Amino acid sequence: MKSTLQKFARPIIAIITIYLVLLLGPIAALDIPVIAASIAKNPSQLLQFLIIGLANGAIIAIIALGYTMVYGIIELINFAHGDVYMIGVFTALTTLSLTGTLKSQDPVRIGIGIVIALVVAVVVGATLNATIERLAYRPLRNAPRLAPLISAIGMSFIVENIGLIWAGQSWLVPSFGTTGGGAQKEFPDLLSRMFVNMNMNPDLLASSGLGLRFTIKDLLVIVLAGVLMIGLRQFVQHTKLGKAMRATAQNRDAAKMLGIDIDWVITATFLIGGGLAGAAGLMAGLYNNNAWWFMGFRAGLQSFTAAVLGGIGNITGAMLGGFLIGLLAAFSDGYLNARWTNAWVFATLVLILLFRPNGLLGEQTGQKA
Amino acid sequence: MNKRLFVLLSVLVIASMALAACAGGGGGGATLKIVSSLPMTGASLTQTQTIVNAMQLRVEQAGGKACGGKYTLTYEPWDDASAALGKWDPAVETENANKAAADKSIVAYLGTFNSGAAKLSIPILNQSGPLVMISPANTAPGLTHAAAGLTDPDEPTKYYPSGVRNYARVAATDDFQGPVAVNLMVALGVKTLYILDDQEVYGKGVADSVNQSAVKAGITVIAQEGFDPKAADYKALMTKISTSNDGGVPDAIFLGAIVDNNAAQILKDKVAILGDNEKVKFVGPDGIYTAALIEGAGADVAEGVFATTPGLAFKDIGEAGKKFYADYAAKFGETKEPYAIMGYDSMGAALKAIEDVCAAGGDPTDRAAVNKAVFAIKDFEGALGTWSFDENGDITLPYFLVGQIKGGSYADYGTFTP
Amino acid sequence: MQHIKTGVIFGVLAGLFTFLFGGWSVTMLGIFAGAGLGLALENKLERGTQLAKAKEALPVALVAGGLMVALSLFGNFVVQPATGKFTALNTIVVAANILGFIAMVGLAMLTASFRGLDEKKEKTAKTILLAAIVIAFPFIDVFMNLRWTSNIIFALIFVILGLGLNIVVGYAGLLNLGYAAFFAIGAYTTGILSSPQHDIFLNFWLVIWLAAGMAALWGFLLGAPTLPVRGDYLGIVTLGFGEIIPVIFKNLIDVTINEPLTCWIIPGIQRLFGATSTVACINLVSHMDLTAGEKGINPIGRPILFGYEFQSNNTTPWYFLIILIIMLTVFLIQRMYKSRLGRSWMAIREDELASAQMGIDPVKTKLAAFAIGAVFAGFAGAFYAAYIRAIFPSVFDFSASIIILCVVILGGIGNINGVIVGGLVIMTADRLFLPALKDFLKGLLDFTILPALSSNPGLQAAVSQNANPILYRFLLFGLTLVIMMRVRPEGLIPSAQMRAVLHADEEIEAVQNDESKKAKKG
Repeated sequence: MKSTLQKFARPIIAIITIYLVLLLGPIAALDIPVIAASIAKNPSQLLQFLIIGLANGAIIAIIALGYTMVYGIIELINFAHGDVYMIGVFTALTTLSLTGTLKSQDPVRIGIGIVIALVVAVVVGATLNATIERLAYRPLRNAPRLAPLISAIGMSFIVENIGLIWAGQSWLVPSFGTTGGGAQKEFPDLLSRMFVNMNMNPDLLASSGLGLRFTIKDLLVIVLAGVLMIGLRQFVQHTKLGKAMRATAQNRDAAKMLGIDIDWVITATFLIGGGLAGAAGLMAGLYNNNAWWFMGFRAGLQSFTAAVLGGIGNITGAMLGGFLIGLLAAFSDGYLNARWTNAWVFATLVLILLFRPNGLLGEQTGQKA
Repeated sequence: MNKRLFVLLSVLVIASMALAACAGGGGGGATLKIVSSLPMTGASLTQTQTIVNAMQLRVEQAGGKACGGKYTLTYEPWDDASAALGKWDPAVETENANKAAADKSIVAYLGTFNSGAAKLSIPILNQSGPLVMISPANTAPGLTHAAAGLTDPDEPTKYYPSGVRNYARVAATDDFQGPVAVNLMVALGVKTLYILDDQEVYGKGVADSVNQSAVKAGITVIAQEGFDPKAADYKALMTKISTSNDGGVPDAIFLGAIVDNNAAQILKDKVAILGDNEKVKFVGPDGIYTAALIEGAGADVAEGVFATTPGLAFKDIGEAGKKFYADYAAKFGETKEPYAIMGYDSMGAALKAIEDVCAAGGDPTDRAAVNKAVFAIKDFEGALGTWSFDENGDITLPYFLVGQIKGGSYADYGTFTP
Repeated sequence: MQHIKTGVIFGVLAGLFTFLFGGWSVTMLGIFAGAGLGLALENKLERGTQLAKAKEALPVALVAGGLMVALSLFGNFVVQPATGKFTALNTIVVAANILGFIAMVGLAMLTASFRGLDEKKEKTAKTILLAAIVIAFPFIDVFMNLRWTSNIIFALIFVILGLGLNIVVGYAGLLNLGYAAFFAIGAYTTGILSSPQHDIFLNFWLVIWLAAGMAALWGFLLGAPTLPVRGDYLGIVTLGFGEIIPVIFKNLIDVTINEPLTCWIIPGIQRLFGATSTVACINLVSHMDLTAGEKGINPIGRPILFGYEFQSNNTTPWYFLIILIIMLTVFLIQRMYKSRLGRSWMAIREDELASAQMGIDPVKTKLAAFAIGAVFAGFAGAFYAAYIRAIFPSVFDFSASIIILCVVILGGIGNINGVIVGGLVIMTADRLFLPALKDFLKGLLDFTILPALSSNPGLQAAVSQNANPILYRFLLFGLTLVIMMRVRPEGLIPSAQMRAVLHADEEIEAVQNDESKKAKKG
């Protein structure tokens, strides 16, 4: 009797679910017949959304890499991480402006400028992140688990405000001097300019006739995300510091007894995480051509979600989570309705976590206190 | 010892109570206070700060005195935002309105910036005097008059429980701005249109109005879609739009949004995917008629964008307007923000009403009298031009300026009527 | 002598606050600081007769009161003029300072004298004093025209939210980053059932229970699938719900529901076989505006009591209503905390596996935490909707969830008194203290600093552009959070358990430190 019920339970639940999706989905723009029709009408667009989703996901993934490292080691949701990324964007913009790269047409000069900006953004991001740890988290290391969370939220407000003031300085961020720090600032499209001035088309598939758009910018962010992920994995797996990090993440007290300098390991983790956020800032600036004091909030939320979705502390998982969020958002914008995108992204994440409670690649460790 | 102390304390308490009672009775005096309630925080600060500056400027030009020196004028810029929300906060706006209602020296309440906020404060101020409210920025039609298809059936009466109107505004409403944008698009030869809005009261309101009049004018509206103002980019959305017109691009995009809701990013991705603004026209309301759009998008990308804003073309601006821009620039630095001049004229209207009450031999501390005088303003020589308030409190300024971005700033394209 | 130090702290703090608010605030601050000082002393003093204790407190109270009044007068005649506000020596200044001094000294002595009572009476006396201050507060506020009540009401809304979230996070140990969703559900239930939006005008006294019930239902529905998810993963799931709910309320403005079987499954199959469709599409709902979107539901009905309709310009009835709701909330939560259910929450928080072995059903216990926690958000939502008279979806987004979490953690997780203090501190900082500080600094800048720089116009322009305190509101709020966490990492009033746990940790830490030192030496 029971076995018969169990046998039919799953198909019945599936049918009810499908019916409910068909009944209620259209309210939230999930109108399956309409979606099927638009895919059938223009199948190559599916690939285009894939490219857009991957490129957007790559930026989220790079931020999420830093997030997940910090997260894995001290189990703290570093709310200020997204704002460190925002500071990275402004650092890059200011460096490019002060080195005269923004106005330059010479591809070599632009290339050198971008490399300098990358170095400066990484250094500033790393320093800022480590400073935040020193000021706001280290003193609370023995406090209740959620106490540093409030400190992190406070730091996030503070760093956001620093960005607001920074954006208002017309000698640091090129502006007309009338709009103040609240307005968005242009981050010039230097990569395309560099390519055009080298007599190359920044759109790599323009001559293929596929009707797809795949620019040098898309390629760069996707490749960079992959390289950083593999590099970081190697670092954590094979270097001494990386091993110390893993040991600290697993059991801080045991690691201490083995002679690992916990303070240094945690500082190093924050330095790496902040550096990645700085690099992501430069990449996002070059990719979206935008700098805004408020951009860290959403980026932080998305990358934190990506990190958890992939499995806390799992580097490949963070990457996967980032790509997944990027793709979901792109397909929702493309086939559903942009009005509902945020809801669909989070609904999918919730669903995934319900079926894989420890994230996509998280180990099923059972109960963790 | 204890007893004596007790007696001493009681005497002191009674004495100071008596003192306090006397003090409570006095107060008031020859001060007229005007307050503004605007969100002075991150996202809106670009615009609200220029409004406050302009209002400050107007009061200083009046010498801080009213009625030939009989009254001292003070201006206090209030804030209706909270750090916890990071934008205008319903609770703070309600409290501001209540605070203004309770302070008898306040004779005019200049605000709000967001139409949603006005819906909270109008009824409160309506029942306290009524205290007149003049907004430099609200564009939702329902606050002052009914507009078919755009307002709720019980608007605007539900905001005025006392039955007397006490809300006027210098900003033109969506139901006028929409037809202006459509007239412009018809003149540009637009046949198919895709409408985007930022899902907020202002952006969606003006987008709805454009949608309504575009259909009337025979333009095909492919879709109206709300976007997420916090998203990092809109490339997927633009890719979808790029084939929405039967596999091709639409003739024009209308963006119902304020610049702070990521308008620059929308414009960037639109140009990157749909092509420049010559090929696919990009039209917006006064919310994007600001240098902040060009600064955010870059001069090359923004080239050719159209935006409508109430008022006359800069070349047609009268002496008063030119003087305002010069005075403002001398004190606060140059501005081309459309809201600055509206802030200036809202304060101008309030001061005019006070002077009118005095001239008629009335008492300018009488809120009802000031309110009446505001609604009686006719042919006011403001910085915007010569204008009046109609019986609904709407500004009668039948001209709209259409600007087009050329070489990194808005240039006059022409003056349009709805 | 160490008591004098306490007096100095209270006096100086209260005095500094008068700089910001001016006017009658010195009296109000005298009342609060006096009672606070009295309680602080009362805890430290040895037992003795009432009179002796009052006498013992007298010098401390005089020091505190004197400092406060001295600072207040200094503020009035030296600091305030520097910010452009000049008040002459009028009767208000005299009366406010005298009354403030009396309140401070009197209340401090009175409270300290409770130490002379026996334990039971001592507790009763303290409760009566607290009740008297709570009851008298709005009337004093109206009399003094300080307008603090409306801000306190708002803080109290967050206190209720904090108390509700405390059940989930503090008692049951389930991280919830999307609690504002239930606040939204409560508010929207009220909005929809008592506004012209759907022409339904139910009585507030009924709607508040419906709102709580609806929130509980959704707490249960959203809680049920999350049971296998633990720790920070649960945080993300709840964060997800918190992000989805406002989007739903924002977008349900044009709801059309078609029954799928008749509308396209059967016609689709028929078309597949070349037949024409024979079934009529059943349309269940057509173009309904359920939530009014971003423009919000407005106006929402207000409570009516004995024929008196609550008005937004009279905050006193609202104040007592929310005090009533808080009393009910605290009463219910205290009962639950001591009940079997409360002990089960604590048990699964500490060790879920072990408690399951002991016969506690983790499923039931967790679901109860979600649903009961949501009930109080429903109360808060209903009150908020009626008080503001309008609701907008953006009020209930992630930042609201975060602020509620801040209230709980900063106040002292797991402790009712802590959460109440946390809510009052955070929200009054946001609504009262920081805006006043902003105005104060702006005045100081405009009237003192900028004129002093007039010899250097470039510097003057740079300072006036960048030193504008309006630009620093997020910074000030962030600093408040960071500093408070550094000063009291366990929260303002930690729960007894938390304190015990922390001490245990410290002991272990101390032992380890000793050992590591020894090891290094070796």
